[in-house]
Amino acid sequence: MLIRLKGGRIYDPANGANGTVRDIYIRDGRIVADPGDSARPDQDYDVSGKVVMAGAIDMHTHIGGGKVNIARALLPEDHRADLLARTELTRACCGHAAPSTLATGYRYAEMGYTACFEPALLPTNARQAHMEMGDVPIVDKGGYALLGNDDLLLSLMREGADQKLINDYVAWTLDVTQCIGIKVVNPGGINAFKFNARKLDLDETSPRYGITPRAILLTLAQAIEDLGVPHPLHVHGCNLGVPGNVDTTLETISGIEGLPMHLTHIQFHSYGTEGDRKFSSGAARIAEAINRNPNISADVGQILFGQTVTASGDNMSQHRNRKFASPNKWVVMDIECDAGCGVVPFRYRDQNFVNALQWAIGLEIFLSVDDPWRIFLTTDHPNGAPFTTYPHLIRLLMDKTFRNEQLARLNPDAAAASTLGSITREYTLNEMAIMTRAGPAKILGLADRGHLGIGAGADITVYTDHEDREAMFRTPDYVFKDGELVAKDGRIVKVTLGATHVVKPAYDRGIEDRLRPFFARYRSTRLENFAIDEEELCECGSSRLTVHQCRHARVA
Amino acid sequence: MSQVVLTLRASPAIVVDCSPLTPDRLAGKSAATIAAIELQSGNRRLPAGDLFDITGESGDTLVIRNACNKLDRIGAGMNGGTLEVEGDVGAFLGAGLVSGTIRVSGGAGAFAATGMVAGTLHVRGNVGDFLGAAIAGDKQGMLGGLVVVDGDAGDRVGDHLRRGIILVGGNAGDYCASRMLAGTIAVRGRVGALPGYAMKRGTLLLAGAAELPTTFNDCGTHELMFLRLFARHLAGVDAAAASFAPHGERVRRFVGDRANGGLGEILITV
Amino acid sequence: MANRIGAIVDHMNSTALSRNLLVLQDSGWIVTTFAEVRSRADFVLIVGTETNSRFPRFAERLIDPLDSPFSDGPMQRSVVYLGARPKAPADARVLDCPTNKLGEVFGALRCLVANRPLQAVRVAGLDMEILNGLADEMRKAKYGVVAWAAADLDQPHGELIVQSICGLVSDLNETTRFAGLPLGGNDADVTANQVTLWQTGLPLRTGFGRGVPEYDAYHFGTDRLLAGRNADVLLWISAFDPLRLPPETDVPTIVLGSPAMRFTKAPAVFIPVATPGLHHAGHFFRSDGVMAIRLRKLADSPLPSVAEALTAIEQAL
Ligand SMILES: [Zn+2]
Repeated sequence: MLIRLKGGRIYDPANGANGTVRDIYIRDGRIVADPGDSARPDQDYDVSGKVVMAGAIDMHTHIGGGKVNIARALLPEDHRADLLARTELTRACCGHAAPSTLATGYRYAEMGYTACFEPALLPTNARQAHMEMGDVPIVDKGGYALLGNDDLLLSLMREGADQKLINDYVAWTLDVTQCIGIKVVNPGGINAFKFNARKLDLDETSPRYGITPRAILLTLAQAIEDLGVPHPLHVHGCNLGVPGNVDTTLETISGIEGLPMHLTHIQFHSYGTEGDRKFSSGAARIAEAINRNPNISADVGQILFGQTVTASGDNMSQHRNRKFASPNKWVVMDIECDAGCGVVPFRYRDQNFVNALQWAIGLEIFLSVDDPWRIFLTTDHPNGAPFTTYPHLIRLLMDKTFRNEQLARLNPDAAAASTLGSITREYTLNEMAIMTRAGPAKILGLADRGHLGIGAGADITVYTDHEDREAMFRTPDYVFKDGELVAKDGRIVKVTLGATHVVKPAYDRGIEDRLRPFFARYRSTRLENFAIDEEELCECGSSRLTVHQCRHARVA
Repeated sequence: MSQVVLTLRASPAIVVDCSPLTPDRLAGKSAATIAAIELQSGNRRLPAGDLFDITGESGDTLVIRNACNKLDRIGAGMNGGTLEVEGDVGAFLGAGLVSGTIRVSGGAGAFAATGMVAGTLHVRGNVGDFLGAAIAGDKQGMLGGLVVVDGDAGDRVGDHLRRGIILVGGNAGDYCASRMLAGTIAVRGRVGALPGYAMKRGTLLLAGAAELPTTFNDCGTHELMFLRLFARHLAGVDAAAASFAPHGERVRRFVGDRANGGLGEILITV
Repeated sequence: MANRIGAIVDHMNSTALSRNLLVLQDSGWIVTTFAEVRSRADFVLIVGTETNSRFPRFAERLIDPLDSPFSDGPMQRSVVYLGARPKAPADARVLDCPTNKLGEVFGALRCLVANRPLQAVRVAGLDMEILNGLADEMRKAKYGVVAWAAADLDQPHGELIVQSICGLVSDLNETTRFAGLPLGGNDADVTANQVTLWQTGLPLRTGFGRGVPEYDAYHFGTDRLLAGRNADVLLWISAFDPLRLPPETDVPTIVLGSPAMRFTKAPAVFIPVATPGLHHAGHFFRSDGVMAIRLRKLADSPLPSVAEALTAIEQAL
């Protein structure tokens, strides 16, 4: 079947189109070249004057896995207030802070998103995460496997295992957990918390292992580099949320010694200690460091006001944050000598000095990083705000007048402490297409997503160019997933299954012999039962496994 | 004074959500309009006219006659007016009541007065478990207002009670005032096991000896000014409430639940 | 199917399961998993009477092994059983206490751990001296664990006991590390709850009668629905265990169950089904509620899986 989108204004930064008017042709789920006058489209959509972009990609969103389901269990009252009724096509389910998997898929697709990446997939919990992601309909999924607090890696490092062995372990983890990247959360800190440490600085040695977070970061970043995994090491650094952590973050940037590194929800790591309240913005210093270091990328983790729930692998920080739980209930878990998690509901208040300044810090970072290819639009869903707030966030970035109106409503001391009011930058549609499409695809190594070139998967979103960018981005006219119309005017018209994106770097299978005794003695699962294969993924609801290329493995 | 009378024809097979039928929501509506209001029953929606004979003229009073325990959520979210029920009712009676008065001649099911904000709820018969308590996930039960039960109440009276007064004329079940946050509960009859369990604050007034959790400390016998004020307050609100006014001011005072650092008080009249 | 016909979803074990769930929804908890217990725990308090018979390999797999990656020799691990005459090993340390007093015992331990003075000299028949010793031991543990099976706390409002346990664990974490270990998972109860949660956002005892999910932890329990005759048909699924028969009721009952089921009263409809992990693949959450286990197909069966049977019924509607 041939589909034509006729006369749209194409924003396709990967291919240099910035509002160029041209037709797009789709056949068998892919974008194809103009087949010429003899071919008559089976479906023709007149999109003249409309804005056409690739489907949006959320490169950091907590959509599935143990901690998200704990967040769901924790908050029946939040769910009762946001019910999605059954329709002919969609099932009855609940949304808001920790939406059901079904609501997650429906609402992302309705907003023009076609791929979502779960950033904290515990290897021991990979099976559940894939089951949940399999039940997120329509959009493609991928996961980043957590390492860096597992007793296995720390034991190997303490024994002085060589980098090659660690590379094999990292590659094996990616393989058996079916992931596309590696994330480290509070390196060594989650592990140290199990030994009753309550903080672990970048250069502090961990209990039992005597290893610093800096060493863990370097070792894992080197493994990613050696294996040629496209996505840089995905880092949730030390001291999340602690005033003064901007120094830790800057040290982390310089400490990685030029290796590629992605700093996630950097807003939560950009706090100074100036002013009467000993809480200030470190955004300018962070943005400057990102601008100066081309090996560094970041997603923001913007906060927006209202009720949400914070769900993190960082149980050391979350145990500290329990005092701010609102409503007052929270979960902290230690998990399988592998990792941990903490779930704390939170309400960001615009009249609260700290919350208001957090809001401003996030926006300052967005607007002060020069290169839109290295900064990504996230709220760290649901930690900063649920993903359904994205259209509002986009308006804040694209509309200075609107932004300043919002700023004027905040806690006045916070507004005064921020430089935000003096920033005049407004993101363009082209920059927005980079930040939410082309950039994420590039940094994840998704060759056929995030752009509209010939051969790309036909994930396409068509918007009406509305002055109110929030309205525009909330309700796209058309959303195509792999060439099928899945949403029209912000309503689901077809429910499909999404693919799972992974990488498969080469490694020595002999690593399993090294790991097997550890599993047998100290884990409660056998190594043989750990791996997830493609057949199982598809049983869980994935449409297919899409394996992306790694860069050539470097010769050791 | 004009009123609408809804007379239940027969007990429905599956519980019916009656929350659309409150005096404020029916104000100004004709009998025909009321008859067309759809009520949820299990997985079906039934027009009110299929269940009730509808007479009278809408005003600030609604009367439900021949009621039975299959009628859930009577007066839920009601904001103003008077709702008189003749017979028994089901669960969630007066849930989230914002203002107005609800009187039930018979008994009520579980979770009566949950989330109630203000107003008065008076049940002449017995009520089920979780009177004025929080539903699963909610951190606060009843938020204000006055509840009077002439008969017995089930377990967990006032669980997570946040504010307001609950008066039980008969006996109360186990874990009375569990996890209570504030407010006042008075029980004229006996209470079951472990009253005040995990209580944080607030007052539970008991007429006789009870098996308190061992994590309450005995603070001795006192003359409490509070009791005279409480009696005066009750006399001022409602005739039914007035009969709960404690006689005398001498009580034995227990403080807890110390298990969770609570400073609630259980007062036992002596 | 429930979404389609507007039914209520419950599990045969959800009365026990809800003792944990209600606590999670109200105050949350600090919990741990099997591998952490086995490798780290230097103190384990086992609450309830049936843990070892309900989970036969619990002690053997988690409590008895003393090799640990975190200690150079064998670990020192204190194990204490607390409950009514636990079926504990003969030489075990046991504090005998009736189930209905456990909440008070944990309340007293919370006072002792937090140095809040109490007047009581005995709690549930246990001398305060003994409890004081226990509290002291807990405070000194480096990584302590309290394990319980909600099914053993079988009494009305058993969740209040669980909440006291979790409150104690939370208090202990002010100074040391401590964690709860809720045990469940039998008859796929945890599995059913996890899937219901992620697909709808609400746990078991969620109904779809209104076209939106509606959760009622109290009224949507199967026993209460049947007793109040607020359900007009019961669909009972037990693919694992032929002994788990539907409750006695005059509500018409359809059973999807093991072909080995023997009924005293024949259901209106009986559809024999295949067994997950024997006749077809599937998933199952382990007793600690965290690890999902892959169930593999080992043999052929002419019978449909539960999913196949339900899909066929739904298509015929
Ligand atoms: Zn995150």
